[in-house]
Amino acid sequence: MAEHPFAAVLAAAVSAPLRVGVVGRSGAGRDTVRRALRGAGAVVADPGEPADMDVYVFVETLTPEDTAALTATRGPAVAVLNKSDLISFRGAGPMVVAGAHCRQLESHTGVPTRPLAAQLAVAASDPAILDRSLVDALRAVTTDPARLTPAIRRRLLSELDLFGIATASAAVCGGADRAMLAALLRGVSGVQAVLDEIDRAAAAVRYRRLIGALAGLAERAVGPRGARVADFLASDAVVLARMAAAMDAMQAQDPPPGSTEGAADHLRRAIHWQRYARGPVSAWQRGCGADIARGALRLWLRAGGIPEPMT
Amino acid sequence: MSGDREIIAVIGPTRSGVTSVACALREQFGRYRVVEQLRSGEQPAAVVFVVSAAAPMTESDAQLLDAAAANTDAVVAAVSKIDVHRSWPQVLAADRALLAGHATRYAGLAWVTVAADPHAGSPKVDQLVDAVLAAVTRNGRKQRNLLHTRESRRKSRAVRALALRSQVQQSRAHIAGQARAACAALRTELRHEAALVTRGGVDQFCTGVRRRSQRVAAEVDATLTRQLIHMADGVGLTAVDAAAVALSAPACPALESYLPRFVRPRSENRLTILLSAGFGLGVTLTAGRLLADLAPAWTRAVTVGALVAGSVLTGWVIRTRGLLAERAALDRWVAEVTAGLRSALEDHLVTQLLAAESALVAAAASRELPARRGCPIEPGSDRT
Repeated sequence: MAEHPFAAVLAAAVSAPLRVGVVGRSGAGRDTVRRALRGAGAVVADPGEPADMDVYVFVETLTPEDTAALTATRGPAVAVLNKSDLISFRGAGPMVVAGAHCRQLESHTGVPTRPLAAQLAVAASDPAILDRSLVDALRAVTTDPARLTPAIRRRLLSELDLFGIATASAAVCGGADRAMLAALLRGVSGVQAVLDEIDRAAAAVRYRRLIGALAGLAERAVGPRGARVADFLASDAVVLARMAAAMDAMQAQDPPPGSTEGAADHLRRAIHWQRYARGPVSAWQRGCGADIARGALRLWLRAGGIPEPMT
Repeated sequence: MSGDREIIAVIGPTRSGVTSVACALREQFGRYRVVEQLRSGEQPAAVVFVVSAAAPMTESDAQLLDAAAANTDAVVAAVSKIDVHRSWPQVLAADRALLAGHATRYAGLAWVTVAADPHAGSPKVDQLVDAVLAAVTRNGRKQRNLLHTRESRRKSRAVRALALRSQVQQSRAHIAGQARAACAALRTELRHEAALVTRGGVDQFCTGVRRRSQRVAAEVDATLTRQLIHMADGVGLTAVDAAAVALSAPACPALESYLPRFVRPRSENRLTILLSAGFGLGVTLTAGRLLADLAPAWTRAVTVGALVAGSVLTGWVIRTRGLLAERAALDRWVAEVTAGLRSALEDHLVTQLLAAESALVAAAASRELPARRGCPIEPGSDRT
């Protein structure tokens, strides 16, 4: 597939980085979330730039305005409950309470919703914040709070806030160094769960990109020199690529690598997804189902399946 | 018994700390019933509007306040959770600006900050308690004064609206009667004239009919305007306002579109010519043969004379029958024109009076508002 001239077009279209747009209520901390996601390795679009998917930032709960904005987004979206570290200091801790609240909201809206303490994620990713003086101050919080100057107190509050100070000072007293502290804050902040959700949504974006690029090629398949393009579009490589992208988008289980699936397994999979595509699903899901069924049938043929004409 | 205690309503978006604030107030205001949800018909003595300091409030939050504070001026707005959200001063400023922009009655609202359920330290609700106390005291005094005047105003407003409506109905009956009578009179007059129309006077008659229809319409319109001005005077509007009321009515189709055009009876004329020619021919033949038999020596002169007499007779019959046919057509046309005029007048009357009625009732209601500006926050004044 690599030497095929059209393969390069497809590869370029599909492998372009996924740009995440951060939107939401004003005052909910969109800028901090943008910094946190950038620090965690995501490609984040600046405000006003086009994005492939949206991260919707809100605080405390979804207002009617938030719900309306979430239903109005066109591409995939992930909702983020920011300032989760300040939600409640009772019970199992703020992030756990926020997580439960997010699950409740998700069941209402259908949009994946995750808690996030963007402030802590920023602190974890930026060595300039988690510097030596801050770590020293964290150690002093529990042992000798009187030693803290007003300036460093203000800095502690503005960089880590209450929950961050409590978590970090406990870790520092337990002997954690700066790297361990950064890992702890990153773990507590919930940014990894948000990135996972973004990845999951990215599979759908990639599938859409692949379909879009193939549709562009299909327009060239008619005309005097269209036979080559048509052959390419019908080739096993393209059909299996579509199947793989669709399975990613549908979050379907891939067969474990190296496993030898028999013809019967492929046929069973094809029948399952064809049935799925005929069910009450959206056009997009129908497309995914059809692509998976088509790919599974090709694999079935390769594994020795023999098609019989319908009587 | 909780039913006879006055109510303090604590409202706000979910998760803004409403419950904690309500608990804190319940401890302080034993005399009052502190509720988080107003049942229909309940009139709170004070409304406490709680928004979180986590982020600036939204328009939907302001609508919650509108619903709860529709009937009271005693509103205290509180920014909660100031113990954890350190950016509360900015949030407070944004909230104050949003509510002031949402409705003018909230511009002078009392804003306080609370930490009703802090995770460390004691609750900070003193400001709120003071503000609520001030609000219920002020409200109690004002309520007693206002209750009586509002009730009496409401009653007088209803009576006045009823009087205005019946006045409009009377005007409608009166003017409609006048229009009917004018149309009937015009019809009788015109039918008399149509019976006497000469052959050359048909066009002139048609123009006259249109002119007189317009004159009748103008007379009815003048009566209507007089009545409208009279009614507008009754609710204290000037003549200019009354004219505006009249103009505000949707325009009726032009009078011309209601009046049918006069069509001359062409095919009848042709038939008349044919029959009259036959009659003339018959007269010529009969007279010619009779006279030729009586005086055979004058046959030539008799033939010429009979032809001339026949032609003259034919011409006369054609003219007379044509004129009679046109008069009959004019008679029918006059009936159609007056019927059209009547429906035009009725349409105009109904539209004008309907528009005038709604405009006058609205004007009468709005004229009462300036007199009620006595209280600083006026329920409903932002909706007019």
